[in-house]
Amino acid sequence: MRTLLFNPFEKYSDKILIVFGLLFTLIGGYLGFIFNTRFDGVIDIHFVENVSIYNPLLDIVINIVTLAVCLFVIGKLINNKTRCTDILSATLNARIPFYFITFFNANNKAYIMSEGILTLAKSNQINTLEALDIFYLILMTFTIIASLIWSMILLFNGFKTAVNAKETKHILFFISTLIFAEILSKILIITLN
Amino acid sequence: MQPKLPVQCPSCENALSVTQLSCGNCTTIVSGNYSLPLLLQISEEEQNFILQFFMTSGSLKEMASQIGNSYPTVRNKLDDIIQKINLLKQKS
Repeated sequence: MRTLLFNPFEKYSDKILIVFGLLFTLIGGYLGFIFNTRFDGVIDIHFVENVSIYNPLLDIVINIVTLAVCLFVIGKLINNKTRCTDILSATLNARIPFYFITFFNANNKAYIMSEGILTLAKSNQINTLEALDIFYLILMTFTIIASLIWSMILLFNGFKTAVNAKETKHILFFISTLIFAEILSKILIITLN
Repeated sequence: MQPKLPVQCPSCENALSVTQLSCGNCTTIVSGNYSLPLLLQISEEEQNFILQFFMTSGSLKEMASQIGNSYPTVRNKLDDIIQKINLLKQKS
């Protein structure tokens, strides 16, 4: 179970992982549409008032392509035997935890709440926030942090398996590439979507 | 249980060598100082991996499906063994 959740790349074939990842990409795109969520960066997620059907899916596609290309280039530099399919399967599957976060914006709950908090903060009435809202906010924060950690573990394990990364410099390359991909994907999403 | 062939000195961790061989039939004993062949200097698990690689005609994909691991995991294991053997070759 631990392998399945955190390092499926060690056991399962690339074909199974890619099919699984593609399936969840479509589900994620649909969830983004029904729960008004934008995935506007490799490690970004934002709730908005409304989105068109293609916005979340295009966000996801841009994120996957940007991250996969960046990791593949750095992977090839580390180990010439790195395969594109292994990097792609890692990128596709590492995004799955993000799709669960969308449920927090059912009926635009998270969006309305964040707008309400901003209004209260501007008028110095933040202490009037309801206890139920605080609980929802804490639950959402912990889920987002847990999802982000889960996603990063999946991405790193996928990259590690694809590249046979062992050294500290490989970890540093991975982190630098992730930051670069985040900036690049942000620019691309703002420009194209 | 088949006893494991020790390849490393339990005291100083240096590589062991063969100093005595005996015939199980006539009890003839040959003494000398022979270094262990390269393939015997790696672990039993790695020896089995190489044997399996040989038995699958070098097909890593077939090996991966037999072992129940992914292709890159098997390829990484092979790369690690190659690296280890290269280091042992340099030492000897």
